[in-house]
Amino acid sequence: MDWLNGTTIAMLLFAIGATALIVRKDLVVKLLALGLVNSSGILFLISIRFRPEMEAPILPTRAGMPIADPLPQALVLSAIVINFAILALSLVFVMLLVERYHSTDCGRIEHAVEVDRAAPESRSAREDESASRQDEEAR
Amino acid sequence: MKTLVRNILAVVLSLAVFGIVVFDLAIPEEPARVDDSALLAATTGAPNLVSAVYLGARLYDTLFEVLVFTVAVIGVRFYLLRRSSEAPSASIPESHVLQASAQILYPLILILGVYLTCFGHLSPGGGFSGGVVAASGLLLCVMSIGADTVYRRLSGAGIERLEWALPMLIVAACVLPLAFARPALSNLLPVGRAGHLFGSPSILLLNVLIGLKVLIGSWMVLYAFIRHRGEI
Amino acid sequence: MILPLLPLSHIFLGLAAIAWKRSARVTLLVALFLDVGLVAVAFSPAAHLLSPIAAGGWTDAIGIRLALDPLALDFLLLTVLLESAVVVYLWRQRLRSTFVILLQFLVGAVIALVLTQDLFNTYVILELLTLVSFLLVAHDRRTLQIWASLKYLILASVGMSIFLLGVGIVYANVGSLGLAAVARAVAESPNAGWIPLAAALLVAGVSVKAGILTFSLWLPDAHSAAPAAISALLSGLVIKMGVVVLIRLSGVFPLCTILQILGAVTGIGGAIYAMSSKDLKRMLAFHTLSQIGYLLIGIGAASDLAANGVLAYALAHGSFKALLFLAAGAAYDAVGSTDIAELIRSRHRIPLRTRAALLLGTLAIVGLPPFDGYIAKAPLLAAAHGWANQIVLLLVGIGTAASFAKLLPLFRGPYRRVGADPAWWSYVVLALPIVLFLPIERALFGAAFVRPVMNWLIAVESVAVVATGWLVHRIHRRLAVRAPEGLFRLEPGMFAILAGFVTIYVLLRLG
Repeated sequence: MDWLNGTTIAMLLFAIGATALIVRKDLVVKLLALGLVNSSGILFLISIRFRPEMEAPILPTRAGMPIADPLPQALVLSAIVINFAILALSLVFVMLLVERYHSTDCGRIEHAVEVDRAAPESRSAREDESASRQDEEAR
Repeated sequence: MKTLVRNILAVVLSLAVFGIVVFDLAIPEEPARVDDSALLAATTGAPNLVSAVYLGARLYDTLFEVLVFTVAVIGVRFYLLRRSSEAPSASIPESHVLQASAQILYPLILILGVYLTCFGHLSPGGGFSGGVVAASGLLLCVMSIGADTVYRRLSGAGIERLEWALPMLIVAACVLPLAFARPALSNLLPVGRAGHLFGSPSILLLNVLIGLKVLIGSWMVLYAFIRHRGEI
Repeated sequence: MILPLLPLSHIFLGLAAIAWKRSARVTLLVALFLDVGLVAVAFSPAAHLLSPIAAGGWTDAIGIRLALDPLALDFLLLTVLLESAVVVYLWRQRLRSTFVILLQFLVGAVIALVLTQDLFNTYVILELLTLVSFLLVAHDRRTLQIWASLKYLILASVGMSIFLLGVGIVYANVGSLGLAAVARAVAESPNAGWIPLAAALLVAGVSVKAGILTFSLWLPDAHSAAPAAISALLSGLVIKMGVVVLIRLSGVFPLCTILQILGAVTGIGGAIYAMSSKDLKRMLAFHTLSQIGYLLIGIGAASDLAANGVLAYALAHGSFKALLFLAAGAAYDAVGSTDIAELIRSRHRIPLRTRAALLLGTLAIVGLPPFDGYIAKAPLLAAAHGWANQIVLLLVGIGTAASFAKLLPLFRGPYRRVGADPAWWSYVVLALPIVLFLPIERALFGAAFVRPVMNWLIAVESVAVVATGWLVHRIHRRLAVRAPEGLFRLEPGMFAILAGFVTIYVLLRLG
């Protein structure tokens, strides 16, 4: 069972997340996949120096036992907060997009965005501009 | 047909990445890092070495991470809380069991958050986890008395001002050691008895500040999401 | 002692802008003065105050080291330049406090990134930069911007996850995250098994942010959709941060061949897309991709002349790209569209000063002799060894000239004075280094560095490149080929990152 350690599982999660990010069309599923990819990086970072006989890095520890390295754990704290920030902000943007296009399908949104870019006089673009102007006045 | 090709190609590429990293991972057997746990504990006075690392040796990193969190809160509020004219109808769930149990549980969860924050240098915990636990306690409180009530009471207590004041205090805590002829980003207050609650006061101070910041920030994010969507 | 304080001061001033809402402009000015002061101190006899320091007084093994080396100094100059241009640009506009705090965080993060010598600190600051630029791009809340920035965030986070994997492998094998320690470990055992994988992960991860064509497929949409001042900052400053990390990595790992290949791909590919682009801001964004190619080939050349050339070119590119983006923004305000044909048709409505700024930027970017584009490109042309690199640089130059030849009709025709351009003083600020680049370079890099500039052969070569570019443009106009634009969506972006990593790994393994 030497293969079944944290790094292997972390890379498996990365592969699953990367595949889902490409294959699935729903934006919310893409966000979940993004969270999975980020979490796999975090798992990789912790498990890269793990050994079962290590003690938690809180003194005092039992004499003679190797202490787990505290540095990757501190790095992981930062990575978790960054993960949270990315997911929260991308969820906000997905919500804004769904409000405007009434669909979570990535292909449809991309198509609609490109249509809007090519023809700036189209109706949805005009709605768009007036909506942002309303926000300016509401503030 | 094109979709199928694309899907197969995606799986192949991801498996290639998996294979490359798993089969080429060369980790040495003996630890490459010198064991400096004694140095860490002595300099910061914290038995929890992870706290000693991220609030002591790598405080500069943690500062930027607090900034990432601040930016996230700013972003969520800027993009979601704009139409102030819209009257939200965040209703309380009509379940007496939920309300009653929430009213009993949320103070306990808040106390747990405070404990995790304050004892973060002695046992696993710290500002980040304590703040998140306390924020989930607030969420439970929302379930018992409603989001708008909680928001009104907290805003009345000046929570909006804390949102920018806390990062300023954290930056000040990092810079103030210069006034005592110590390098910036080192201990602000002198180290006391190791293993005691006030044994490493600067780490305790930073934990409390970060815990408050995470609590208020998470609450802002949660409130923005609740109000933008209507109900929980 | 002072080094950690500089980014912290920006952060503090940004928070102050939110605390006291009327003080936004004052905080921008104070931040600018602090930065100018720092640059002045760095050039003065008191420069020992800015010596390298490990933050908090910890040892290098576990702490974070900050240092103001020539790379950092050059990018500080670039930051000061762009910061002053943006402050001047924004001075008369209505400022939202959110915008100001994000701007301050952006500048603070850029300064922190060029000062740091630690791998994980680089990761955290890069993620902060991603988030802040993501929020700034979508600031006007138009749908185009929201989708462009969402794409940017998703692809950038995947890239940073890959970078984090690399950081983990480096730490497990070296035991420290400082660049000096890693360089020592690599130098001691250059054939160690972990080096190709770690280097591939790190390079692939940071390339997503560095503006390399196959990795940064988010760039044309994000940089063209953003508001004018933000586009100027992103193309001029933020994208260079990825290049800074690549420069630091190239000092540690043996990356010369990889960087030259990546530089060739992005230089030529970006130029081809720029030639067939019909929108001004999008063309400028493609040019950013292409000019990064110059920088990468320079880094790959690994000589002193080339290293200084890279720094000089980064400074020059920041100045003329920001000028072009600000002028494009003013043109959009006047005409209502950024389509090139539309701009040419309505050129009588564009203020004269905007057209003058566009002309100056065009002359600088194609590398015509007296301006800073030529002065900065000359050392790179002289230092690039091997005929393959020389041909690539020539092709990129021809492509650049060919795509900017599209703008020539814009400078003809009626020269009526139409209106005032609010960005005029920013143009003046940015035009200073464009015109006065020679003395700046002599001060930064020494007189030996400016010798290739005086070389007649290189000057003639540059003029010939511009002329050839104009001819190519005439031919291209008749052929009317279009490059595939479907490449710049989300899924191809993900594909490109994964495939790019596999390619880089294979190339590094083969030596």
